[in-house]
Amino acid sequence: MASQNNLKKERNLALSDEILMSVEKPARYIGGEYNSVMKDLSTVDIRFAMCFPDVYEVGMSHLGIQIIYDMFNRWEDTYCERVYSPWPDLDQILRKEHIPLFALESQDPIKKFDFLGITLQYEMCYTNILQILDLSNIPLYAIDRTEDDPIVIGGGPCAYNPEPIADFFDFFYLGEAETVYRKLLDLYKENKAAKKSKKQYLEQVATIEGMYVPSLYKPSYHKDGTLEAFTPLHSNAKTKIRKQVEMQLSDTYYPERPLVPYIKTVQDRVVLEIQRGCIRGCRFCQAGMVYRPIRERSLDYLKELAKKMLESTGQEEITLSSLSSSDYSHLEELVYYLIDEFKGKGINICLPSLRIDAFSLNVMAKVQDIKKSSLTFAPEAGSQRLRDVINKGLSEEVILKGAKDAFESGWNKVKLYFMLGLPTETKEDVKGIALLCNEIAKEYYSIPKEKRNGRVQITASTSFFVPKPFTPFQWAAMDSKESYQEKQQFLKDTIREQLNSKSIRYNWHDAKTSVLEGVFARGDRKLSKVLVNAYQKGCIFDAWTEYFDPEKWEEAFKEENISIEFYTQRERKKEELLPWDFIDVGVTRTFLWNQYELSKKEQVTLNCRKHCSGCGAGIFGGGVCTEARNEEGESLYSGSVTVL
Amino acid sequence: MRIRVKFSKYGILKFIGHLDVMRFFQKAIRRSGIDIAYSKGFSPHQIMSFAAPLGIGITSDGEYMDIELSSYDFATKEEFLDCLNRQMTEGFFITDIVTFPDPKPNQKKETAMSQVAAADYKLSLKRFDCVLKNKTVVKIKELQKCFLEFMNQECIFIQKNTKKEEQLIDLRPYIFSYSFSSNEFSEKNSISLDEIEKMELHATDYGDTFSIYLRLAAGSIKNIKPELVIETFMNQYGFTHPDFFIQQHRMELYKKDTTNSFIPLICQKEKEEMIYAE
Repeated sequence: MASQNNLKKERNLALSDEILMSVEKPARYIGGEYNSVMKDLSTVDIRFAMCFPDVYEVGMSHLGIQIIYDMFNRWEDTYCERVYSPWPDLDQILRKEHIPLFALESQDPIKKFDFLGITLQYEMCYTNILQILDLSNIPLYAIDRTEDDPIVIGGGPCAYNPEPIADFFDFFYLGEAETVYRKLLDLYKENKAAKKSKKQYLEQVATIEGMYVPSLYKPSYHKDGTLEAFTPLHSNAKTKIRKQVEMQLSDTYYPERPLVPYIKTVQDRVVLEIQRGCIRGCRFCQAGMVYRPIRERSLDYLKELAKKMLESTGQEEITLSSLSSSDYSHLEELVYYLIDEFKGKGINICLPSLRIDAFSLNVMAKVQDIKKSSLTFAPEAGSQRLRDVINKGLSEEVILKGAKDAFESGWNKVKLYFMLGLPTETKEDVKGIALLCNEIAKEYYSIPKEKRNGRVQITASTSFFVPKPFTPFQWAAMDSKESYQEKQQFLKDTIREQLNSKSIRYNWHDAKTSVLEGVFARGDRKLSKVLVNAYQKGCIFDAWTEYFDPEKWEEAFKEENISIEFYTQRERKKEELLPWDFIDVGVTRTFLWNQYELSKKEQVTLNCRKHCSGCGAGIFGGGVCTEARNEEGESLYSGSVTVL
Repeated sequence: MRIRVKFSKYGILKFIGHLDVMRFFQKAIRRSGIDIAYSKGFSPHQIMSFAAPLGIGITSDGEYMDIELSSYDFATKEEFLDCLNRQMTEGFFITDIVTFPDPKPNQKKETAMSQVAAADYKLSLKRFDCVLKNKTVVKIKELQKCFLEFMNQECIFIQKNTKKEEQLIDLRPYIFSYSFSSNEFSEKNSISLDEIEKMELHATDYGDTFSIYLRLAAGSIKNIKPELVIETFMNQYGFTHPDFFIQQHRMELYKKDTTNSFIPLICQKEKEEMIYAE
């Protein structure tokens, strides 16, 4: 076995037996998983610590890190190791005993590494970034670090507005990791050989497309707190930084031997990313905009990957990953291949984000236990009017038809996801959620009794809409906590009034974390001191309800004299300079603004395969943007144009 | 066709629990390509069972699992062992395998789990000076003397509180054998020194600290955990100690033969009668 255990000697752990025995799930900290990579340190030039700032079980479930881990470790001169947030029980011990945070593979302190890469998947992990830095004995603010500290890089979706955490990073990698990391590492080696400083390296990094070095820019503010200017301080600092995009998704890095954790993780299965990007253009969705254009991986590539990954891991489950699987042109072929090839070998096949139609019902009946599984719809809004506002092309008719077909095939559980607090939302729209749930239940009871499978169970969940950068709603005001809670109560009462209320369960998401998410999603550099303040008060693991402490956060904002409402409840003017305007994601500001205007007029925009709306992603010269089209402007790709 | 697999669990893997060990082996067997049998039903699972769960923190050279195969094509034991050992990570090692013919129609299938009757353990103090009495270190000689005395009692009662009632249990009859050295343990239980060496191969060596070798009742009828014996001993003598002061190592698991004596879960006769593919 070349890729693992080629060094047979027993590793020493960073933590003593006593510590490991006294913390929850010690396997989080020992490494050594099957397919983890052990390299001889004397043969590598670059040590890279890749961090997901949340607990092991969450971090290990992330595909992006597995891709980067595999890519780096294919390079002989580079050794990539992993680090996750120590759970609060170990956090306390590390502080008390002065044990520096370590990487899982070598168990060496993070401080020894050349790079510390941190993936930014959600705003609520920001204090965990500070925890990682602090426990590694790396100064929180980049400006306070020396040549002895690793270079700290941020990447991932939240890097599309890096400003609230800009002060903590040496640079941000904007966009997809497959493209220029090699260049960055080569530059690092050259720089090191020439005995140049970190500062000189960062100035060089700034010349590479997609790299944002915050120390080379200075924001200035108007009296009202809005951004006045964002000024480059160095000739290498670009005024506009374009994200990196991997255009050859069938000929790039992908982990053929993913790590196999010992303990159960959130995503405990093989993950096959079938495509990147989305054609839908839902106006609330950041992923749908920043990953444009949609690019598919070829069917043959995916078949081969699926086989290799299942064989190299021994996992008993494979899941397809994408923003909207039904839009993948070879979906039927791929799914039938997986069923034919692996179902008989006891392998489960998960098909998330599928539109309900004859095909998906047929496949799901084959791969799931109908009695136990439930169907999921994400109408996001209760009324057709509001669904038009958010450009969610899912009509009531389609939902009811899908539900009815599913009920007739034997399902009796339906989950529905909605958001409250969407722009222009009225009481009628909220009521629409209750009515829709009731209608679905009605569909169930309209089928003959002998064909029914007991009672129907409808679960409606609402979350609190948070406007995100690079979406048409980036200018919109977020609803207030009070208004959201009122709507929640109103919905609860309205559901209770429905004829079929006994069949409907309602779950809601807590408003407090969403407000904070709203602040950091569209925040600016002034927020870094709030983060440090809250962290020093003891805030970590804010994404975990049991550790989230809203009072400490409120105090931190107050002490730093920062208004939450300034960031959340203010509608931005068209001409306002937004903190993330220096980033170019392909999709233009003009397109987003036009979409915002259309949303107010309740006008929908067709998806990319139906019609090109000229969003700007065409600049990358590939994916759906260059597919052949007929006279009506419809894409001819594989002849499978989706209906919605 | 059923096979019984013996393996060691040591080093960093003492920190993973029994359920995770099962998950690990399910995946390892899939990777190995061994033709394991699956249960019937909508979500079939591998037919696999473990002899006795091992607690977190304990190392072992005497773990067993039974798996059911649909077919197999190994001509030698080594091929079989290699095939599985290629799938192990640092801390797992397969040491032995035997095959069992399918039971005859009127014969009951005896799983490792149902057969287990006793287990051997080696317990070692992690530091020679971690047991105290009245704040002074209890010397190893003193510990040994006290332990002999402890074991010479006719009964060793412990209180066991269940939901319904308080119960007094006598531990003594379930402690089948004890020694302070491997030599003595080997003699008492007629195990060859070579064999003993294999049984404590992956036990961590803490130098010249106090060690006890114990044979305890194990399995479904009466299962005595070694820490229960040690805690009872410590309490009786008023000794104090830090948490996790003893490293436990399971050396072997036993079943009873027709004469009611203990034989390892893979016994000599089974090794000799192993069936290979032709």
